[in-house]
Amino acid sequence: MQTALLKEQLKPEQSNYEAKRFRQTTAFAYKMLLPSLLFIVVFIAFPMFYSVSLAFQGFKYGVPTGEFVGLQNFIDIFTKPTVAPGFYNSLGLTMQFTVAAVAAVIVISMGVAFLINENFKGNSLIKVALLLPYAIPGIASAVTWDWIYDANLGVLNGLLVKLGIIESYLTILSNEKFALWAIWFAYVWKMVPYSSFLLSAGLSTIPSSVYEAARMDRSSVARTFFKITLPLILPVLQLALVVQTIFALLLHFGLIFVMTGGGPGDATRTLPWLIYQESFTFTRFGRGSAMAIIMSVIMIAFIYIYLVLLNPERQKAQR
Amino acid sequence: MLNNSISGRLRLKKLVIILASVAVLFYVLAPIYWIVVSSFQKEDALNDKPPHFFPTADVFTLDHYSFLFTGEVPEGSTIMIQAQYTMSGTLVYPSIINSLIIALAVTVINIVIGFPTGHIFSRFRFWGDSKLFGVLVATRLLPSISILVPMFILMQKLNLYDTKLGLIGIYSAITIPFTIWILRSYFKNLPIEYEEAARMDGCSYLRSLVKVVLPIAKPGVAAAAIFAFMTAYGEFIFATVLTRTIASRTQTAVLASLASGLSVSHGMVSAASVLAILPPVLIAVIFRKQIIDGLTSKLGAS
Amino acid sequence: MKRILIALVILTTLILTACAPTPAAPTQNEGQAGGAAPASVALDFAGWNYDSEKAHDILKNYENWIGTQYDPKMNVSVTMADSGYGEYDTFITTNYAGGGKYDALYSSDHWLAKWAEAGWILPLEDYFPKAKEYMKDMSPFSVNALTYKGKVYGLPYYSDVMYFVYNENMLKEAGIVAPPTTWAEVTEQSLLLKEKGISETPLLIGLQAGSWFDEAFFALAYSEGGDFFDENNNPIFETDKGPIFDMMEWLVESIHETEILPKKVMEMAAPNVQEAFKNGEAAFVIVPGYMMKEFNTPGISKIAGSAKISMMPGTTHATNGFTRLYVLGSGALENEETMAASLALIEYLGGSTTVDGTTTYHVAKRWSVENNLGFSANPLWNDPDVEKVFSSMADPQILAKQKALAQSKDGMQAPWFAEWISFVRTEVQKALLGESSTTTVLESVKQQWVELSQE
Repeated sequence: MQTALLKEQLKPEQSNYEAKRFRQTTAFAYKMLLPSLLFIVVFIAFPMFYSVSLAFQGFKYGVPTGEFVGLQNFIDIFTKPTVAPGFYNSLGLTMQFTVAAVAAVIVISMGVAFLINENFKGNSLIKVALLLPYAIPGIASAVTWDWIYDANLGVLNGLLVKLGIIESYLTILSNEKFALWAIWFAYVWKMVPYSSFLLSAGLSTIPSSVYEAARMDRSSVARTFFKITLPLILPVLQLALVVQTIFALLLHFGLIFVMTGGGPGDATRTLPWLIYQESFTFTRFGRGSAMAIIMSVIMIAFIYIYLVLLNPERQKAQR
Repeated sequence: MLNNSISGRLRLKKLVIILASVAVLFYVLAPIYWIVVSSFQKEDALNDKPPHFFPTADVFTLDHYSFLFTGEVPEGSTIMIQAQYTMSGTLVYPSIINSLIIALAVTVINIVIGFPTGHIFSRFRFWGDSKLFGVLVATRLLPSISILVPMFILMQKLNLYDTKLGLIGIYSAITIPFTIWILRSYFKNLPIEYEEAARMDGCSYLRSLVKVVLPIAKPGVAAAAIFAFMTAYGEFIFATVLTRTIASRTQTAVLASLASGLSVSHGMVSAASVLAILPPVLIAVIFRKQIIDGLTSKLGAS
Repeated sequence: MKRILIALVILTTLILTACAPTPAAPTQNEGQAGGAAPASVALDFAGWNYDSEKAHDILKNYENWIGTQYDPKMNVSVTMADSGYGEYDTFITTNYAGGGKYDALYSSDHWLAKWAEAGWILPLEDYFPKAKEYMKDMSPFSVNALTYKGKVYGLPYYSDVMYFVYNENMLKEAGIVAPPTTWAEVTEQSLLLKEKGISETPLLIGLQAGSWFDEAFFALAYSEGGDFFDENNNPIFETDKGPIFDMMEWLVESIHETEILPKKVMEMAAPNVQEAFKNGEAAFVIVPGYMMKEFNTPGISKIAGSAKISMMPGTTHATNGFTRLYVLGSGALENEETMAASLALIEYLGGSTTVDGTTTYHVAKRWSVENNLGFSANPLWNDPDVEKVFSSMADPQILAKQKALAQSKDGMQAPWFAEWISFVRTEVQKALLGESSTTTVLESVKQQWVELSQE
């Protein structure tokens, strides 16, 4: 996309003029940006820096000891026998959850996106219905699923028994094998709509002539999808992946808070929950902040992978 | 021969569409159905095994809702006594009002501030533009839990602790980067000719923004607005810790404390959830065209 | 489009005005004696939202009482902040970590050491020597709970004991004549109940990771005479034998072998156990006393009339007693008036005061008569209203006997107790899930204690 300014900047004989324009634009831009920057600086920058500085301090019973402990908090996280195993466990669970959640959301919403792109009678009904999980606030959704999964009176259990699939009520949220997957399912449920709309927007940019050509070539459904559709919606897919990864790493906290509290044992103690525990149950704000920094690094790594893996290489391969 | 295979394929496609639609509808609506149905069932009915999947006349009750509005449990109700004590259900309705006020304010702030900002990022090149944008987006990468204590200190210092304004400030800061991101991508795919024409006609920047860009940017604005609204309405961590009296408690905080309370009445928690869900769902349904347009016309990459 | 801008500005202003914090409504002190202008004090109080209406009502009564019946020079208004019990510790922690303070607040015995050590709460007896006198009226396990490092930190709000409750009808149906007195008998009777199809999950104990876990776990340990720490806070429990080891092995066996204790107990806290029991799902449960009333209320409970208390099975029949209390927050140090008002508040709530001519533990009595909450103050047992409520709950002799054998949780006197017990919950659940052996778990729990004590 070329802006008017850019066009001007391409003319070499106007170099002085463009430099002046550039400065003027910069001044103007920052004047307009001031309100946003103010919000960000006050409400985010300050807490962020403070929290980062906390990662390098020692704490005892919630009170900073006032000494800088350098990297000790980080070292403890990775090596101390009373901390490290819990941390690695959380790391593993978080990875598991994130990969599974992102994969499920993308795959399911891809299917739903295809559906809502088709022209048929119930199309608008489905679209409105899809808005509902999106509109429901996270806590209400957590409370709902908690009630559905209840091991004593939950409707999921009731349904399974009625259908004859199981004999007696299952424990879901206190079953170390099921708990994380129960949360995963509830999480995916809420996230699918937004992604579906996003992907359907991408799909709708593909002209039907492309599909017709593919059909002429006798291309199978799978082949069409992977070799033609996918590359064409790559930018949108990329965006969806990035967004869903950030969400998956951060937004399942409410679900864990309401439904399992990290348990049973530590079966659902993902990184956000561990950070919460370290900071507030154990009042070790230093270590908690250090863990938060590690988690942010992981997030950045994921995003970097998407932007690099999916961008230049894939496009090169296409040619 | 060709005709047969085409119509056969079409019929197959139709079948797939119908099955998929039913599946999607069930998947999406089943949990909502259940929570609504639960909120209208008598407490002892909710304690039955197997559960009552449909609210028949003998288990129907409005007890839970009347408790949430009046604080009184009707005669003959089977709600556990201890649950009545811990519900403090009368807080539910005011907290929803709080959530609404906060979410609306945040949305307005997002549009007023985020709209021009997103536009600037998309149209102009200036010193540090991509770096600044990167920084803005990066602010989303730190989990809220880790900035909870600093945020608390900040709120105390600004005298905003336990106020709606405080939450509005925080939520605005959280949502503005996303609004900017969404709008920037949107604008990039918007033809620039109209704006150029307006500028050449002598319109000031802001005027051209409002008169020319705004009307054609409605879907993008809708997408950003709905995102800001939903985020502000449903935010959990800050709402729970940074508020302490009903002056500023949001539905998120109240619902969470009901669910983790010392005793649970499933019917009442369901009713409280339904009430909390109502406003955003109503908004989503009323503005569905704008929202869907906004979400599906988002054509930009990062 | 100017109109839209104007409309937006108006809308925003309206919204922001709606958000302006409303000033606290001034309280009225009726019938206040004329004379010296009273000093106006605003107290910041915090608690969790159990029966908020009543709690706020009690505070309002305090505001009226203090100026009229206590000291006419005082004029106090109290704002109470409440959060859910589950987040209460986080709530207070964030508050203090961020530099906020409360003048008085609820606390629980398992948080006391942590909060005291961090300086968030003050030793009550240093500012209010009468607190020491009050201890004479309280049960021993309460006194333990209210004291830290030898000083009294608070007065009790709600104090209770974990009781062993059984469903008499179920036992009768199975032909069982008397409730079990040992854990082996519990297994026996439970297996019988299962066999006869009377109950699929005869035994329910709330073992969800949370504070109710602690109460149940310690009750079980004490019932077999288990001891965790000595006076110097050194761990003295054995990790491969002994009462605590045996008790944990019995729990594991009950889940995996005899299957009388279902796995789902790990997502159940005492209130969930209460719900299941009143629905007639279990024959034996371990719950706090206040739940008894509901078990026997027709309409609400499906087993009304057949819930009975018996002595905790085990060799010593001892159990765990816990106390929630009112403590003095560091905010009270602000000035003399605030301190005086805060102390008066704490005494009003947890002590014995003269209200409208009668002198008794008014607030504790109200909570116990109206909500069935247990209390610490022994003199209240002689109150006829209280006696009536509790004798309808269960055999008062058993209640008294069990209470006498209640102990407060070992190790609560250490500031790292709260952190340690969170660790314990996770580890013990691993053993219950079969992921870890009992010995491994006890070892790691011991090591964690030692590590924490050395920091």
